[in-house]
Amino acid sequence: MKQMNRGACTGTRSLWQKLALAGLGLAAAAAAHSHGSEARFVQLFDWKKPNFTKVFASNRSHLEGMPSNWAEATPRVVPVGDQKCVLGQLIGFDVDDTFGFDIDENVKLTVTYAAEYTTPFIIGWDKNGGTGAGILEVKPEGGAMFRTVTYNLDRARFAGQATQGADIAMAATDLGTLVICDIKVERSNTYKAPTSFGTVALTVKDAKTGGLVPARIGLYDSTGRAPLASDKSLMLQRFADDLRMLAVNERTFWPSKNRTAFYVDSKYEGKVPAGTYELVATRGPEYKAFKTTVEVKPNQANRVTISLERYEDMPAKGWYSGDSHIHVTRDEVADPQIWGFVAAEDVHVGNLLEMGNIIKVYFDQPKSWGKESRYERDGHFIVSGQESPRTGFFGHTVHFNIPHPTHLKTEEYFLYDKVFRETKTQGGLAGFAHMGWGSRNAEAPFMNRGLALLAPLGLVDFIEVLQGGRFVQDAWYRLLNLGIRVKPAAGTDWPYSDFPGVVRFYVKVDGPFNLDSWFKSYDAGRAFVTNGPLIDFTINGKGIGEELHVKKGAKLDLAALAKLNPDVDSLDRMEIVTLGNVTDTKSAAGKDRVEIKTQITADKSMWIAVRAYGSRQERNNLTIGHTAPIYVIVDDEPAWNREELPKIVAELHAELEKMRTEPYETPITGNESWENREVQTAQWRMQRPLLKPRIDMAEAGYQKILDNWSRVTGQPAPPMPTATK
Amino acid sequence: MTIDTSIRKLALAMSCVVVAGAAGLAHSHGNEARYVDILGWKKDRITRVFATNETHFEGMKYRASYPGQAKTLEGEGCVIGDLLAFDVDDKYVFDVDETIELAITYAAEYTAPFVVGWDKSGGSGQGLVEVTPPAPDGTEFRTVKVKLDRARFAGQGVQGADFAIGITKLSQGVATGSVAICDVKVERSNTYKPPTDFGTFQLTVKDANTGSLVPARIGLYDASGRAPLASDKSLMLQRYADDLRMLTVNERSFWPSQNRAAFYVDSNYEGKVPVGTYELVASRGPEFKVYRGTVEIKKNQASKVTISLNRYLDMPKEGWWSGDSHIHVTRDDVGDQNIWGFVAAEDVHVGNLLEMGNIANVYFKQPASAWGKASRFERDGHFLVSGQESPRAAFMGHTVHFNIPKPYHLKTDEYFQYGKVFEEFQKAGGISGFAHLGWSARGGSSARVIRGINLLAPLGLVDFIEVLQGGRIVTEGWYRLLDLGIRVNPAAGTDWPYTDFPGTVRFYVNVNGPLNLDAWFDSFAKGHVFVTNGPMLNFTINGKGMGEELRVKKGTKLDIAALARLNPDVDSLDRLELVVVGDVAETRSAGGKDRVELKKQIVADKSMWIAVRAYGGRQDASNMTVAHTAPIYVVVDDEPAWDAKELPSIVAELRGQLQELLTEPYETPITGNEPWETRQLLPQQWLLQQPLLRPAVNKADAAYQKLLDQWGTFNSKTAAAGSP
Repeated sequence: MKQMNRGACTGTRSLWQKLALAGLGLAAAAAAHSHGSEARFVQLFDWKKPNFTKVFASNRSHLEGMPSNWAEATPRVVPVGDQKCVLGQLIGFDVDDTFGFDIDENVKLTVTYAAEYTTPFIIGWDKNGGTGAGILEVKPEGGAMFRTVTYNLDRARFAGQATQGADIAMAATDLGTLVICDIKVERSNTYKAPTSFGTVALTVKDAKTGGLVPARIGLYDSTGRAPLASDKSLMLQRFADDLRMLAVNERTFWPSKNRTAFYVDSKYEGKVPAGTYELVATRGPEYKAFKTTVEVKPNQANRVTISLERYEDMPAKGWYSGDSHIHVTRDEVADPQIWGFVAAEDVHVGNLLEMGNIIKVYFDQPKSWGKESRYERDGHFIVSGQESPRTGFFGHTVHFNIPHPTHLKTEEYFLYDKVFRETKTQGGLAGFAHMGWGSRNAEAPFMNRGLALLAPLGLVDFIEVLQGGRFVQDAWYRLLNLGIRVKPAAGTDWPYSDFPGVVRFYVKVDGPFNLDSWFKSYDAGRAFVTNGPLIDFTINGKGIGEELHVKKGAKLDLAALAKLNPDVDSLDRMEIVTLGNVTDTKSAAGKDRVEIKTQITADKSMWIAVRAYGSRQERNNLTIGHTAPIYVIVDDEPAWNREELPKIVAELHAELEKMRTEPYETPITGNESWENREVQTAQWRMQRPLLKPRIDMAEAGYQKILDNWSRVTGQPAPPMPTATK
Repeated sequence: MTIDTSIRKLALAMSCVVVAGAAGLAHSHGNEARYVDILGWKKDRITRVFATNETHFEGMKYRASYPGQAKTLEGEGCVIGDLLAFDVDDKYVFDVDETIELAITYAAEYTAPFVVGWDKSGGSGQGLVEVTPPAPDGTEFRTVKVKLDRARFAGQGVQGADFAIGITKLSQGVATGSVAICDVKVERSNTYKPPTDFGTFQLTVKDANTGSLVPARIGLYDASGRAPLASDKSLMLQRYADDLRMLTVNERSFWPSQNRAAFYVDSNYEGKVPVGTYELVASRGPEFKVYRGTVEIKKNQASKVTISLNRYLDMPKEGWWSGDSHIHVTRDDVGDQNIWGFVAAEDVHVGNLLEMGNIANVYFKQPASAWGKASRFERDGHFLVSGQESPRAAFMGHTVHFNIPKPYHLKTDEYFQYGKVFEEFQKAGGISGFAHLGWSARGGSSARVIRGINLLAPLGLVDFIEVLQGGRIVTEGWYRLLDLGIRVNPAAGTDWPYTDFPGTVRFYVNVNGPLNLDAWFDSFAKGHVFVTNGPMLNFTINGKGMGEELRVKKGTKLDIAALARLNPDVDSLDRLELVVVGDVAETRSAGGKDRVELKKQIVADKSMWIAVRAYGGRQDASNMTVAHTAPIYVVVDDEPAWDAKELPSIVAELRGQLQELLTEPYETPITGNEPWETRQLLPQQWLLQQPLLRPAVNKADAAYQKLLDQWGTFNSKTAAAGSP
């Protein structure tokens, strides 16, 4: 269970949560704050065990290193022999605070599982130090109806940092199942509660301006233990969890091996046990990380001013960062907690998205939409948008800068074009979310379908090509190669993936920065996406997103520069990408900046972009920056890929054709499948006949591109396959 | 609509209370196991419009991929679906023979190319015409006029429908689009003049050999090929919920006329027909030669005809009695003469009438109070007996259980626990197996439908597999089990009304002496059986017959004798093959004759299973004339008759599939198994029950391991060299 910071509140955290959820809207700190939406799968079991207040099935634990899942198994209490057991894929256990809360000692955990039904699983627990999570792998033994095993939960904290205040979680790996028939915890009682306390008082400033700024903070004692943040820290939302401390995941740069952090809106004060502490702070990739040591003496106030030095000042050059994809519930437009969470990462535009599925909307934004939904302080904005419609079959869609939300009704949920047209009519921007999915397993082709359907109609403004440490270019490059100018975006999808701003997209604003100018510039393609590298790029003086008309044979002067804050990662190389192919590479050679200046000849129309990589090169944890293209138009031919275009049209056409014939995948994964699996499948069958004119229209769009290509190249357009039409 | 349909409706309204049939004989009313969804859409001259999955018009059988719906499109009330059936008002037209024009208005943007099928006079009794809408040009609605040649409109389609509209393109039976019909106008040409002069046709059918009266399948066609509707003296037949007297003989069922509307008689028949000259044909299964004749019907006179059916072969005399493993009809009373007649007219000696379950329902119920021996009805050496096809899910396979003391339909929340049913029936002396293994040769379902077998066969719970059905023989799954040394028997079942008439495929069981069901089932369980849709087989090795075991020492001479015969009225005989451990070891051509013999001596160099199969002239993948015996098992030096070379790899493959069972999602779309009512339930229950299958999977896995260990004791060298 997770309590309010001790000494700050008399009640337990769960009581607060209950009150809050009941709609009283009381906040723990003085500032009002919104309460999150439970968009996770959480199902309480009617299964009581001593020292546990609740046991529930979930799809996420938030303990680093534990798998999340799609909630495909159907959890329940099942009889096994004479026992009542809980069956599930991921089970959360909330330890009674009277048994142990915020301790630091070994706890003995005895688990009895049904051996014939239980597959290998992982036990995770709320732990002191390091990532804040302990992890144990269990390989069940068969040969008996039940097996009982005992584990030592090293440095257990049990401060309720997991889903809905859980302290322990167990998750089956590889689509397996857990059947737990008994659980016992036993304390070692080696933890002695501290008796002498001092106060830490922090002030965070921008070193250059001297202005107070919000930041992300870490404070660790000599054992790595992080005292729970006080009610002077920001109250954060992680789905329905209102909490003050979060684990910094491995994709997020952080200057300590201890990774439990809290957020402050420039000032903070907290009572902590006396001792020596490591104090660290960050504020996004334009600032250097801050590190120091603080000595806390008994009954004394230790004041520290954190002066954050800039590595780079992008706004000074006209570039302002945004996050395309943040999910938090906001009751009032001016929510200082949410603002602080976003501004502490130095994100200038936080797009807070209502999230829809075929039956529901989560993460509601205030009733005031459009310009009234914008809240600004110190040049940092939060603004309402929507991620809706959203299905595994057609893709998740994101809509910015919209005057009002348009959530499709259940019975027309697959008619995505309605929302895209509405967004366009209202002057908003519409695109597709997390195309990282494009390179995942079997979902890939399905996720691309909405894109294939709407892009040829000119309804798709952008694709989130960067998210969760993955950069996926397949769909984006294909559209660019057709001459369809789609912009790149980057969104963290908090709380599904990373903290706000871990990935972001920078937009170049000419003149004063405000949201109108920012969205307008973004619409013009003046953007790059990044989770570290900062890029500048021109051709003959034209900037990112601009168009350059030249005659064949004209000389093109390319100038590209990439920089990377060494606190984020080391810079590896920069690449020039022409029509999807790398045409130039330059190593950073150990420096934090790399430059390319080169001259090429304009022999044909082309799109040219720049990308830069850091040293982290894992598929799911890649440091990268990528610009939108500059479009070079030679003799009025569109900047498409002349050679590849017919093949790409044929591929996308084939995807459309499949759409006419293919069944819906089952089980429906993602999109809160526990509540909409059936309705989504049923509705797909009902609405599929209505898609025919839309598929016909998209096909006509591709045909038009092909005809244009044929006209320009003088080559006959290859026929589009019509096998199943 | 037809008169019989009205009776059916009445019966349904009376909650299956038995009502007097039109013939005066009590008869049971069928079950609607098809998708029939009546759409609230009224048009002039049309009494009903409904979405369905099966029209009984040529090829118009779909998978209920879409729900039918009435919807307003561009301001017009339309019906949308992939297959829509239309029942034309009998007051406007019934049982005619003239061109009828349909003016079909459809929403252009929402309509894929489609076909129109209709109830037609002559030939197959069905017409089919394709309509390809022109490319969309912005016109919202288009009207196409379709002329239905020789329309009969006697309500021979599903639930009395007269015509149907369905999309054209099918990919493995899955609909690839839909039609949106916004208006239909029916216009007669009025060229048909109802006959004014009638005579009476009187018929008696006898066995030429014994002189006794026998039921048979009959065709009566006028000079234009038109079949007068059969009178109430014919048998009332069940085709799902349709109670009707005439059925179309499909291309897999041999029939001596190009006109294919037939009726069934229980030896005597009388009907009023228009005067004229008629073609008269009759058949009674593959042991009888077909009858062909003409009959002149004169005004107000009775024309009496006696058909004497001559035998081609007398299998009972040789000790072989045929059965159909798989017939679905609802039976209210054990002694149902209509059902008996339908089965006996095809000379099927054992008709296994199966209750059919799915995860939500049971269809084709058998008499509730009379199971086991009490469910048996016999007349003239032809039996009906109750059994069940349940559990039945595409994911684990459809299962069939014979000779059971009472039905055992698993509850919804334990539906995937197939082992419970197999174990229960094994204890009770029943015989259990898997249905229509033809599926393993179809599209995506293959790996999944054999999962249940994979789970239960290594535990010795699977007695048989229906390897022959719907003109297909599929041996992969069966041979693989035989190659493991698991002795599974072949069965053949028609799956009426899903596929063919009873007996079109059948399995012959050798019974020493007169037929009784206990002996027949016992002998089947012992493997004294062959399956066929025409060829008749004999096969011995050193005097041992099908299903028997021959224990010899290595090097022993084996004298093989095999014979195949095929009634030329069914098909021509092509060849006979000897199959040794799955491979064809010898082929003999029939050389244009109706019999082919093989006598051969081989040396027993290893343990092996040996079987015989024969083929006819029809070789299409789904219309093949074929017969296949159960193996004779040659055991050399006590090593089981397995495929010692392949066994480890087969075991590895099956074990791999078992593990997949624990992680794989339920397939989509849920096809088969009445998806309109189970589509939601099946995946939902699969998610619930999948984790509970783990012990069953572990048990099967352990049995495969045991088999592998046993194999190792005989093949130690190979095993040491590194088995999987």
